[in-house]
Amino acid sequence: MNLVAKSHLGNYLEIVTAPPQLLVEDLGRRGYSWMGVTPSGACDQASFRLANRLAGNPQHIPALEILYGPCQIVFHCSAIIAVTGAIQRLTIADRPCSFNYPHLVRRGETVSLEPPQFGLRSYLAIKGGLYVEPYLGSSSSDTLSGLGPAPLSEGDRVAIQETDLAAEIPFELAATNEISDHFELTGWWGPRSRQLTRRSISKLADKELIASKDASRIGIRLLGAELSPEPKLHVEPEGILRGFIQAPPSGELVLFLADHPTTGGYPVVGALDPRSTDLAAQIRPGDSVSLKLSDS
Amino acid sequence: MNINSIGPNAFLVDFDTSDLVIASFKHLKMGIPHLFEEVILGADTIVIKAAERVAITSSGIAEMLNDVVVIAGSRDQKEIEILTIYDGQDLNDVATLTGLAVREVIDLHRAAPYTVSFLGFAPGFAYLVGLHPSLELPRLNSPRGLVPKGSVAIAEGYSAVYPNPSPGGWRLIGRTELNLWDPSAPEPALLQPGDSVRFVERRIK
Repeated sequence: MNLVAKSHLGNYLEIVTAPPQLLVEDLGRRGYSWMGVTPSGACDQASFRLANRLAGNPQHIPALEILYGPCQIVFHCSAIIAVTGAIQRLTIADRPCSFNYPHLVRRGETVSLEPPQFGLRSYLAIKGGLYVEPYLGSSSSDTLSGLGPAPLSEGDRVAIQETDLAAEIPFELAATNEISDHFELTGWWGPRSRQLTRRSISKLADKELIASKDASRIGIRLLGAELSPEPKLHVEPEGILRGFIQAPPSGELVLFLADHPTTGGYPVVGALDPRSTDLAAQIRPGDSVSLKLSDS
Repeated sequence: MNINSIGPNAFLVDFDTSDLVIASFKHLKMGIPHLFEEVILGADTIVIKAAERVAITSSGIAEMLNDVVVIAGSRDQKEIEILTIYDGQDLNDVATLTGLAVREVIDLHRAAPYTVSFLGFAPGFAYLVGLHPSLELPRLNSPRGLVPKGSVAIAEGYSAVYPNPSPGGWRLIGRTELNLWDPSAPEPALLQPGDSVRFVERRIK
């Protein structure tokens, strides 16, 4: 795929080594859920926004979402970049560079990321931003419906918006990541939790849930919740938002991430708060999770 | 109407009738994107997410919805005819499972007036209510990997048309060439909540 428009031939990057999933994302296409279009956008929005801020961009500008690694990208122009999210070993032309910090990449240099020790997704933002034709107002790749740019693979080129590299970046010190192989997520019980017993609800917080191998940008499944009574088999379809927690009769809990379906037929028992929704994008299969929900 | 909050900025509203869901949705939709990031209608519910930096409460939502009334025959609703060739892969199975003749299945499907209840599953995928009760069947046990664009299908109490190729577990009874999804149009989804739909049979020689 060639995402370089003729008018942008000057500035672009090229994928040398693609990780298991490499996507262009922004903050998603919002307001279209009612017509069946999932918002999509970055899975870990806090890290995505931080990457853009560190690169000197408004928070919504298209950037790369890198799943795991390794990932190598050659820049065919000079650029200022920042990488956030799951911490990986980052080098620019073999120079070790720190996460959560803006760096200059010179024309022809290669940015390399090794797989992270913990977490799943990293964000590489470029000053000026990637230039990808928007679809319904967003340049994000939607893996549920296939809207937006296709996933990137080796040899793909993506245009970079021209920008003034000399302009000062008003960056702040970034908070350090707290990603490990254990996640403490918080949120709220929802109206469909009323059928659950008090005992079942009070015990959930003490349980160690395990992320199943069934994980994608659509959502992740947590094993071991053992809610009782078992949730109803089916409800009439109702709306789903990013961070909603669904309880299908199989006994797993489903946490919905960026590419969730817009409606679902199983009861939604609660929702994660925004911090936890972003963190959930970093949960790997096998990681442990504790889920502390409070009343709305 | 019953308004429940899910955290500080999301709400799930239960309604008594589908008409009220649609009338309320049309009212709330005007608030996208200034007040609401998303307003999603379901079969008998609406899920609302407040826009960033907008503080809204259950009572605020109630105030907005209390005055919503269903006006019978209010026609910002379109009437859409879907020209359909009834030759779907599951047509014979549907006849067998319902104990009807293939011709009876087709006649029952095309005779009914349908209303768009809500959209979901895929861009422009409209859940149509009004299916004749004798055609109600569960979804396929295992969904197909690829359902062709324009497939006319039924499942449970609904009928639908697949706007684009996608995986799917509904039973395919026919196909149409009508385009239901145009992202360059001001309203990308042809079928909007509340619209009336009829399936018109197109016979092929």
